Amino acid sequence: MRSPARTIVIYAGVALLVAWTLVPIYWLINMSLSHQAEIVQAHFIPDHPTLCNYVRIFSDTYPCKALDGSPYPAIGQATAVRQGLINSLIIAVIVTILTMAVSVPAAYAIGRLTFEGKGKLLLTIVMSRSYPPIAILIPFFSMYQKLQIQGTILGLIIIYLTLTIPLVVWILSGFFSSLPRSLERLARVDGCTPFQALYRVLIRVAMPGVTACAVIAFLTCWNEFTFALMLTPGSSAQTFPPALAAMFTNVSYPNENAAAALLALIPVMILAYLFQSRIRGLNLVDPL
Amino acid sequence: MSAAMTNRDQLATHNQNIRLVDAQKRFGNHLAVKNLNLEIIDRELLVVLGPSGCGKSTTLNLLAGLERPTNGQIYFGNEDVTKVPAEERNVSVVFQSITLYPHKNVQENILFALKLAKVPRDVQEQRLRETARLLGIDRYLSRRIHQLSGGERQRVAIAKALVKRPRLFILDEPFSSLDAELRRELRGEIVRIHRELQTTMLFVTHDQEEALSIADRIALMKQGELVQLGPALDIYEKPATSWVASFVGPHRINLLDVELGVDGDQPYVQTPAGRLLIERPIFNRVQQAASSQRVMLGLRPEFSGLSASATPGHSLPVEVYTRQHLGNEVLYHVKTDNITLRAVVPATQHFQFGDLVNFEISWNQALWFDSTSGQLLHAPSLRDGAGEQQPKAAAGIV
Repeated sequence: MRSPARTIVIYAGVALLVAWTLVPIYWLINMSLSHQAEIVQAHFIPDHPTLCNYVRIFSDTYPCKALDGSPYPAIGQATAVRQGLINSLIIAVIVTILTMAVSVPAAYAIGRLTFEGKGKLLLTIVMSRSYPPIAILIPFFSMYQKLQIQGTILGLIIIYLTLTIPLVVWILSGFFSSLPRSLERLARVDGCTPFQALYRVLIRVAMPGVTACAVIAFLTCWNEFTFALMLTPGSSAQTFPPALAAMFTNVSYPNENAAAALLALIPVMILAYLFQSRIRGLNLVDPL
Repeated sequence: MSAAMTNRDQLATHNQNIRLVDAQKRFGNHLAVKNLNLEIIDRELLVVLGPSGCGKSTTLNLLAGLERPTNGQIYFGNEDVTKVPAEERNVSVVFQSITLYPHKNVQENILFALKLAKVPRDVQEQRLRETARLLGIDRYLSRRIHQLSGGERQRVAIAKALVKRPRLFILDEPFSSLDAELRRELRGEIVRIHRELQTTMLFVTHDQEEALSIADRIALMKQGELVQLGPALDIYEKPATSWVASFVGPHRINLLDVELGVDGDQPYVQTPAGRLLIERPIFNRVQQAASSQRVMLGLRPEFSGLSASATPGHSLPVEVYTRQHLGNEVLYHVKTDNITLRAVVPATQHFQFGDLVNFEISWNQALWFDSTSGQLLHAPSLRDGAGEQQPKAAAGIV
């Protein structure tokens, strides 16, 4: 039996953790729905909730009025925000697809086959995530200048793949190797060729892990700031995080900044909601 | 004799037997299977029995096509399937650990192989119904795998294996993770299914009791080699070596290093615990077969007894060390200064720890082995002759 005191302590701990995570986000939402005049005297709930902050970050022309009836001036970031969101989405989707296409077979090979030099190969892959990514910025920078892919979506995709593939191969190979050995053998006697055993059985069983890894790859790109800031500012390939950072320095409206920051959270929330059971399932060693 | 003839004719014209010919499998420096020659007779239930690491799993992998032999051939009937991959052999396997796909429900699991083989839908449905009825799993065809108990999972696994009408049905220690009662129940099911479907079955196990309880024949393996092949009871009654005798049987056999001798006219056996007198005919047969006077004497606990009163020259004085109740019988461990012996006696006979008793030997059931090679020298025929001394436990084995 669990004592009431113990239950109280556990729930208090959970409440603290939830607050720790969600209070800043709550505050962000609160700010993004408030008028500028209201943030001087902070309210827990906006007295005059408004969507005009969201409208204004997407449109420089739509007339929004402040509480006293005077029109807000244009903030001049609409193009950068729109372009940044589109670029981020395109890059994240392409990188996720390419990452999974490369990593699933690689992780399968490392996780389930035996071959010469397997341990060293995995070590090499893991090592590529051991240094701070910024350390390789300079070689990339000069290479990109020579190749003239600086400030392009292609350039970012290539560099993001160097971040996502090692990470995903590492996580997925562990996941594959934790699946029961008999799975492919069962598939083989059922009539699968070795390749069919991989894609009709093993990948399906590994789906929680594969999905979670795809989400991780997507979010890695979506959240990436350093490379994007160094390689794309001012270009048409600029992603959303540097656009957001530029807003913070260029725009003196905290409410608009809050609304823009919330936009960055939306895909994360959607993915977390859609795949919560599968992501939780990642720690599942025995899928039975 | 005529039966033997027709049998051989059948083999020649209609040879559906499955054969491993000089099959060898090497992993690096380790020879998992050494020149194995084994014929699985069409429609029999052959049990491959052996301790872990004896090569039985490798043997099943060779037969299923999951491993390719380093040397030798595998024939299904007259067809050489050595190089045929698993997916083209039409072999079903129920594995020990994972037997079902966790991402599919019961019905999808059962029909997966048929779907792959593009069997027409109506045939699939008909087979599904038949097989589900055979295994008694009609009720949970739409359940998820994780909603099934261990026993139900194994039933589904068997259904999944049978639904494709395999040429060979292999079961690899399928019940070892289940509790004893369920294990017994499913063993019974296997025997029933085998009778009903007449499928060639290969059942792999390390459990000799399981082997004896279901096998038509047993192939006993040790360290990658076939040690003995024959009907279950033959292996119990005429073990090829002392190792087989100690591996197969309800209780571990007593093995004693003894010396044969004759005192005047009376033949005797000198054991580490004293001298035993023995009848001339048995003595002569053992001595003829033996290469030296030193032999190994095998006394099965189920044929040994304990008594309070000594019969000099026919029993060994021992002390009761410990005991285990087995229902209507009790297994006693008794010892002398230098050896420990086991005897199974009826529960009506009762001895206390530390009691000084006499270990009684029944020469008509004694097994004799070469002391160096361990090869069987002499085994009595238990089924004809000494009928009044039918083994207590062996009766339960058949």
